[in-house]
Amino acid sequence: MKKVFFYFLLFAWFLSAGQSNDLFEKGNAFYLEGNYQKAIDVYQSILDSGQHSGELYFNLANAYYKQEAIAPSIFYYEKAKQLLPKDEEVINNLAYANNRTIDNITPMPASFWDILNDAIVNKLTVNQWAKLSIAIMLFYVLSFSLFIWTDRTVKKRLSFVLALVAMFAFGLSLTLTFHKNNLDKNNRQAIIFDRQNSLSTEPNSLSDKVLDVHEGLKVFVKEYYDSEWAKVELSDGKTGWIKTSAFRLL
Amino acid sequence: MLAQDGVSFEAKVSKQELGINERLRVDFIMNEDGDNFVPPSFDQFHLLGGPNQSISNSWINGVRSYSKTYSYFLSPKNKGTFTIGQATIEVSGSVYKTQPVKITITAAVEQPKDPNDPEYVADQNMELVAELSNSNPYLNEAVSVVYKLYVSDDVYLSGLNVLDQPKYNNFWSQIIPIDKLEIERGTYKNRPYNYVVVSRAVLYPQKEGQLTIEPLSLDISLEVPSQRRNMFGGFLRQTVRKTVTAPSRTIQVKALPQIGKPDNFSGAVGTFDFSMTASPKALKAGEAFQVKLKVSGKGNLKLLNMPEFQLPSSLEVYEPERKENINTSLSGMSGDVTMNYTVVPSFRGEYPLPVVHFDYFDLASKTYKSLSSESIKIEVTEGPVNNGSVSNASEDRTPESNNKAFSGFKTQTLLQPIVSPNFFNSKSFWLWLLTPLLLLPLILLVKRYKVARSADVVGAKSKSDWQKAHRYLKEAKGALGDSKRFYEALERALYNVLKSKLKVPITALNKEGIDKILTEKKCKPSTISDLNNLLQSCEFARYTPSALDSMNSDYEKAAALIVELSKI
Repeated sequence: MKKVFFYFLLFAWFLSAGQSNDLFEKGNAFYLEGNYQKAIDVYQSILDSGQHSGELYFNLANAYYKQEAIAPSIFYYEKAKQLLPKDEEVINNLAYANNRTIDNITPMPASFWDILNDAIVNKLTVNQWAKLSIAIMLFYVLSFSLFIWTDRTVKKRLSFVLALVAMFAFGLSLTLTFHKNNLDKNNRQAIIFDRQNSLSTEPNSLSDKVLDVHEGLKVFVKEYYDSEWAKVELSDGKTGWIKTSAFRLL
Repeated sequence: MLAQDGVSFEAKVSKQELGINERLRVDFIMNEDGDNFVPPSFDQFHLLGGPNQSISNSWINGVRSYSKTYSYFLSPKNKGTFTIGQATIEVSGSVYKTQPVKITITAAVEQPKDPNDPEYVADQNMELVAELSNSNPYLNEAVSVVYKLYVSDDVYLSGLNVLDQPKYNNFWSQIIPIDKLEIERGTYKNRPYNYVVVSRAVLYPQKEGQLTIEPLSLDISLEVPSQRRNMFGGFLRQTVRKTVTAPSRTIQVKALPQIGKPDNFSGAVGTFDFSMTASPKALKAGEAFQVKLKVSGKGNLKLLNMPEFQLPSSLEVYEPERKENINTSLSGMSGDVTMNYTVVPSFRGEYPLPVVHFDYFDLASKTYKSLSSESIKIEVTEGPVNNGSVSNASEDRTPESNNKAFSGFKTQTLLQPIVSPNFFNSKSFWLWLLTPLLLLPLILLVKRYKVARSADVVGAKSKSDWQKAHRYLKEAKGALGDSKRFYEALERALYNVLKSKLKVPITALNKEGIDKILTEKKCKPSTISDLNNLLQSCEFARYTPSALDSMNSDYEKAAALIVELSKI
């Protein structure tokens, strides 16, 4: 009886996975027909069911792009990019979508730390860094054990050096793991969805406007004042307060 | 005053009672030529003219009549009764004076309407009128003002000169020029008149409330019939120059209604049409296309702000060119205004142009109306793709251009749950990280035990010697009866016990050495002697076979001795 129940569960799981893939293909069919709104609905229903993939986000963004909805297309391209960071099609289409944005923001020149972060820290995700740290830790333990165990001088020297290197590497890797975690926390990206809004100097509607922003612009959420106002930074370093309803976090 | 000698000198006034707006003429007349004429002071009056001297000398039937007149023209300063004082003159050495004259100045009187006065006739037969098309317009609604000079059939207009073009403050005005003055027929105040349109303008009020149009002044020449006739009996005409001013007019300007006023209302009032066009709609990057915003219709075209629109930053927009094709007539402006934008796309892609709205106040329905442009899509078919996109700064810093087309959808996917567990900082993460560290002390302990074991070489030796001793003792027991083998084994067992216990090499195991060490080890003397005896008997037994009994007792002794020695 138990066995039957298990098989039933397994079957149900396969069925549900198959259903989602069916939906994906159904969405693609709508997309091909040029029925972008229906394609969007179908893709969204997959997301609503709690499943996602870079390809799904990509197709969804394409459908929005075809519908000339700037902000959602950029939003989902960015989502796709998070899951498929190396995919050229995603990067390419994102560039097409960004061509439609109104704001022209020249990014700040990269600082030494930015370059360093990009070159090292951002190469791996937090979880990858965590796993790397664990791997180095295991290596350290092994090499140190060897150092303890062996009686031969050559082996002992070699293992000692290895253990020492591993210890430093471990410390570095763990630090970078925490650093990356911090970076991610401070790098909450969001896409402006309002057709036009402006950054203010204070979290209220009365204060001076810093500049106008338009839909599709990527901002970095720095802090929240309350549920209604958040401080965001643009890639050129300008900051200002904006209503949280104006953007969507990636 | 007529004197005895026939000299008369008198003052004559044109009237003794006059209005403040009238003029007074004072003549001092004498019938003989006199000298040193001194006029009275006219300080109660303004001296307008004079003295004018006139002399008339005539001979009629041999009688000479002579008169000399000094004339003054005065206008009163104030109301009241005033006296014109005496004037004096000297004639042949005598001084003559005039009588003072009393003048009463009353309030202003109607000018005498002398039907024969050419000025009066002129006034009666022409009128300058400002005609307004609408005296209660909306803000920015066109109002035309036409100045007409009505001239009746009785007089002729012979000259016209505009002195002062009115200034239309608080209006946007356009004067519609008149190339040639033309006399037209019309009716004014139920009388047929000839009229001339002197000036006309279209006004767009720019302010709410009561606005005044300043009057227009004209300098005109009129030919007025006089009483005199020419030789054919027709009336002679007399030219009268006059300055005429139209009465000033006020306009009550209504504000545009606030209800339903669009947020981005730019002030257009009238009836309009709006369109947005772009051409070409497909081009290469770097080429230019034109976007035309066109507002056509009737209304304040020159005054309206054209709607603006924003394009993506990847489209370079040049300063727009405003073209106006406007006809201004009395009914207002009509025509079209075009804003011509030149746009150059830098990158390939599809660019939907934003829908532009144009809001205006419709005068016919008195409501606000909004017009929207059709959606236009510009396709840039060739050119680089902008990869250094504006917003993703942290990822792609160097703008790279390539020629990749927009990609379609992906066909394959592997769906996964959205909520991916965060491994970092999870329990398993810390477990994985720290458990290996626990291995280290464990390995250290094991190693240490091993080292301790390998370090205890002597102990291990004694242990093995002890084991050997036991083995030999067992052998000896097995060899009971065979005295040679028995004692050999027993001796080895004893020596091994000693080796184990005393930790001395076997070479040192002679009798003296054993004694000495055992004494040092505080062994009982009885034990020592027992050992010596036993070892001796072992030596003897090699040469002389001994009985089974003694073998048995020796075995017992050896066993007891080993037990004893083990206690050391």
